[in-house]
Parts: sequence; C-alpha cells; structure tokens
Amino acid sequence: MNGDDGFAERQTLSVAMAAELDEALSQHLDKGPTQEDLTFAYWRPSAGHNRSTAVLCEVALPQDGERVLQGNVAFQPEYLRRVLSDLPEGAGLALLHSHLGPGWQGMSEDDIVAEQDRLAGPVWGRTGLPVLGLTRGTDGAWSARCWRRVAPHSFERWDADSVRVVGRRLRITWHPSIPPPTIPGSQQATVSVWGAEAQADLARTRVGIVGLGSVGSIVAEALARVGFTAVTLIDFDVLEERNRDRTAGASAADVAAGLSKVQVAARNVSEAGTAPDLGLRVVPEDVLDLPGLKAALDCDALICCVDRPWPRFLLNGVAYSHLIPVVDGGIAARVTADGRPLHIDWRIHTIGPENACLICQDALRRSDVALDMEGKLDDPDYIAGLSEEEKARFSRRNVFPFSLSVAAHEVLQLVGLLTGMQRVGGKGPQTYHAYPGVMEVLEPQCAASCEFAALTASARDLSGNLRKRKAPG
Amino acid sequence: MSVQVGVDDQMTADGLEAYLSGFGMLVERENDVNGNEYSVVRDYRILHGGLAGKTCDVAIQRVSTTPYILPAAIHTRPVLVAMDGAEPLSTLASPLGPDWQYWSRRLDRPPTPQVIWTHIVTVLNDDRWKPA
Repeated sequence: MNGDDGFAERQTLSVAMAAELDEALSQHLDKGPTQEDLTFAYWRPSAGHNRSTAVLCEVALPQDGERVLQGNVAFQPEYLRRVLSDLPEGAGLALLHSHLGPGWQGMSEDDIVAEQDRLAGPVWGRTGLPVLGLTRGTDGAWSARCWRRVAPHSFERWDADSVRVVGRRLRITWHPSIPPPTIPGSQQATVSVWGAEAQADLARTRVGIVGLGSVGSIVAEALARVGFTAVTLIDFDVLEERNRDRTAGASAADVAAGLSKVQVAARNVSEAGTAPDLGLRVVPEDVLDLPGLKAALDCDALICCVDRPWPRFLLNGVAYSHLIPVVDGGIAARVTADGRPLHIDWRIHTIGPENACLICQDALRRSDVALDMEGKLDDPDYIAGLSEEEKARFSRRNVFPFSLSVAAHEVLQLVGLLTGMQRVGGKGPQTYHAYPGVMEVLEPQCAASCEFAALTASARDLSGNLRKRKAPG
Repeated sequence: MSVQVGVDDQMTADGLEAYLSGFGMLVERENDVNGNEYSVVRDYRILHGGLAGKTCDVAIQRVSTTPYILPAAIHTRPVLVAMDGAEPLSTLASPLGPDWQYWSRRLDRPPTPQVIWTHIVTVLNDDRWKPA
C-alpha cells in the first residue's frame, strides 16, 4: 500500500504537495529574475494501481554555507549528508530548485549531473527509493521526475505526468506530452461560461466517482457532458429494480440483464460524453477492498457518492493523507409517522488540505463509522433498539430530484476546486434546507486536535481501514 | 530549519494498551469467535454508581484503522446488567462468549487513551445501572 511497494514500476508518476508547503517553497526559491535557489525535501510514496505519487511532506531548508549561489545554484556535500542523516523513517529525498522561466521546465546538463550522478546512487542506497527532482518556474509551475534504478550504478529518468498542489484549489502542472485536448463544437456553450483555460484544467484531471447510485450516476453523466476526459467509476453493486427511480440511464432491461451500476454508468457516460477521447476506467470493486482503494489513489480528485459512514471515513483519510481532495454530499429526509415530508436537507462539501474534514464539519460521526464497521447498520435487531431520531438518521430516504440537486452542486464544487472559480463553486460547504428553500454557506475549520488534518501529506497506509476478508477455506 | 505539514502522531491500539498498563492495570489479549482480537483489562473494580462494588474484566476490540476509531462497544465479564438490547445501554450478547456482555457505546470525541478510558469508567460507574 505504501512504503516502496514497487513505487518505480507503475505506469505513471505524479507528485503532490499541500498548498501550505508550496507557499513555503515559493518564499524560499523565488529569488527574482537573476538568481536560482534550491532546497532538499522529504517525500513519501503513495501507490495506486497504475500511478505512483510522491507526496512531499517536509522541506529541509539549507543552512548557511550549505549551498553556493552564483546566479545558478549548487548544494554542498555537507548539506546532503545532513538531510540523509535526518531522513524520517520510510521517506524519500527530493532536490527542488528554481529556474528563471515559466511553465514546465527542461533539465540543463548541470541539473542532470546533480540528480543522476551526484544524488541517485547515494539516495537509493540510503532510502531504497528513487531520488526525486522538482523544478519551479517563475509562474509557480512545477515540473518533476525521479531517477529509477535500472541496473547496478545505472539510473534512468522517469518524468512525472503531473505535479499537484492541493489546497482550497487543486492546481496541476502537466507534462508537455499531455496537452489540453482540442475543444469540440459540442462544448462551446460550456467554454463560453468559464473559458478555454479552465476547460483545459478540467478536461485532463482524472476524477474518480465512488458509488454509482442515485447521485453518482448523475455526476458521471454531468462530467461526461462538461468534457472531462479522464473519469474512473468505482462501485461493486448490481442494479436492482428499487434503484430505477433514482439512477440516471437505468432501464428495466438493465435490471433484467443483471447489469452492475458501473456498467450502466459506463454506457451512459460513453453515450453522453462530448470529449472525442474519453479515458473511462471502470472499476467494479468496493472502495473498501484494496483494488477499489488503489483505483481511487490513481485519481487527482474524487467525488464521494456513497452514504455509508465507513467508506466516507476511508475517503476522508485519503483526502488528507494522500492529498486527493474529495467532494462529498449527503441527503437527510425526515418524514412524519404517517409518511409525510417533515425536514428535508442536503449538504455538499469539499474536503482536503485547507478545508475542514467530514468529522470537523459534523458531516460524519466517528461512532457511526464504528457501527458500520461492526455491521450494526445492517442488523435489524440493533436498528430496532435505536431511538426514533437515530432510526431516521439511518433511513437513507431519497428521491431523484434531491439527488439531482446534490449531484449538480457536487459537480460545481469540483469545477470550483479545479479552476479556482469561486463564482462557480461557491465559498465553502453548502447546506440546503428544502423548507423554506435556503442554501446556507459555512466556513468551518478542522479542530486543532483533528486526527485527519494531522495525517496531511503522510501518505499513510490505509489498508487497516479496509474490509477484512476471511481467507478462503 | 524545516517546514512540515501535518503531524502524523496517531493513536493506536498498542498506545491504548501501553497507557492502561502504565496505570498498573493488567492488560491481556483475547480473541472472539470471529477471530477478532481484544485488549482485556483484568479485574477492574467499579467504585461508584449502581454497580459499585462489582469487579469485571473490560474488553476493547483492537482495531488497526488510521485514524483510530473506537469500536462501537465495550465488553464486560461477567454479565453486569440485564440484556435488553434497548437504549441507552443496548446490551447484547458478546462474540467473546456467553460469560461476556456487549455494551453499545458511542464516542464522538477525538480518541486518545485518556479520553477512551475516562469514557469507559464513566459508563461503568453510572448511577442508572441495576445489577443483573
């Protein structure tokens, strides 16, 4: 799950850092138009199914005399010795330096000598991980690569596809080999609202939808129509007749054919998609099983469309620990004893660094997670013993228009996250009260004691949060 | 100088055991019928409330979640109160065995060993309970 776990053997590489760290690096590295600078930093490996991500967790700034500044910059051997000596357990080492131009940066001969010849061997020998190199452009764009060992004393360059800076906004710099897709005529109206630059940010971002039921099936269609080209669908469940009143694209024939929810969503997304090349990944797995979690770790952002506490707890951890922000929502529909609507609310929120976690904004209770893990939420005898208020909380009542509204606002918050456009995504968590018809906007913060915020950029192994499967036999 | 995000100092089941042992309590391990492992505090003496004077073993299922989630129940041996399944206690049979009792408990505060043990002690020393 983490640790090396074949870090250098996956198909693609990405680098992620919290916006707070990016800001600290900016203050150190941005020295004006004539002076480059450098620093070492530590990172932790996050391993998805296809993608490895180096999660930057700590910057070890140089002390006096540990680097030479002469327009360009070089590190002294004692700086390398110090940072290797102080290496946190399980971490890798990165060299970060600045260049004097904007955008994704190439490497000079000096850069290659520093990373491949001076660092790759000693760092691999000390950490068992490839040395990571990052370059910062004058516009704040990052470029990255690591040097993986291919034979004794031989290291080859592996360019990252992307570098993600994760805060209130998810800002991604893409490798030049992944240019913005051409905007087809079918997206003209969309682009007329938020522009081609924002569309380029949206189109390349891999978004995972966890749960393809009432909300997720609508979100999937919306992303396809907007023009997202990289979408991952994660759900293990089979479509049932009782799902048809709330599932986009589902038919009676699909139920009769025994189709899964991801099969229905995949067909709907393929038919609705406006992008010429849709990179659809269909994962018929539970996110509480390792293949489902690995698929989620391949994504740049996630939309959580499940209502059970346990998977939401898992994704709450992913958002902070692995720096993959999650847009989440929920519906609470209380009815009277004779079955008439009483209070109907829904809420939508984005979690991850610089945003409050699900626990701290009271969208998830730790004790509900514990009950779900023990199977009590599926135990009719246990539910029967609960108070009426508790029973109502676990009733999961819903109708299609509620899901439409939640799905719409989840997609809008995702667009806000990826483009920084608050005028689309809003300013913070939203709670809608159907009566009298009011949307509240909150700006909660994580508590100082929040154990999820403490996980930020730790790339922790979350396999202990997964469903325990009994060994066969 | 270093700049770090997050402070990954998480509570664990081992940390809870070390905290309890540090108080001089005897903490051992037991398994239930499903193979789940528990930390068991031996011979806890209840000093207050409706069960004052009783002595029991207290079991807490060990979990490996990150962050730590306190399981939805504590378990006592022997059975201390009537098994009625209704709130506020929601006491049930325990998977640890017939001489154990499942007490459904909710803890929604950030879990630390101190918070968890205080919660358990408060539950067991409540005035409302009547001996089985």
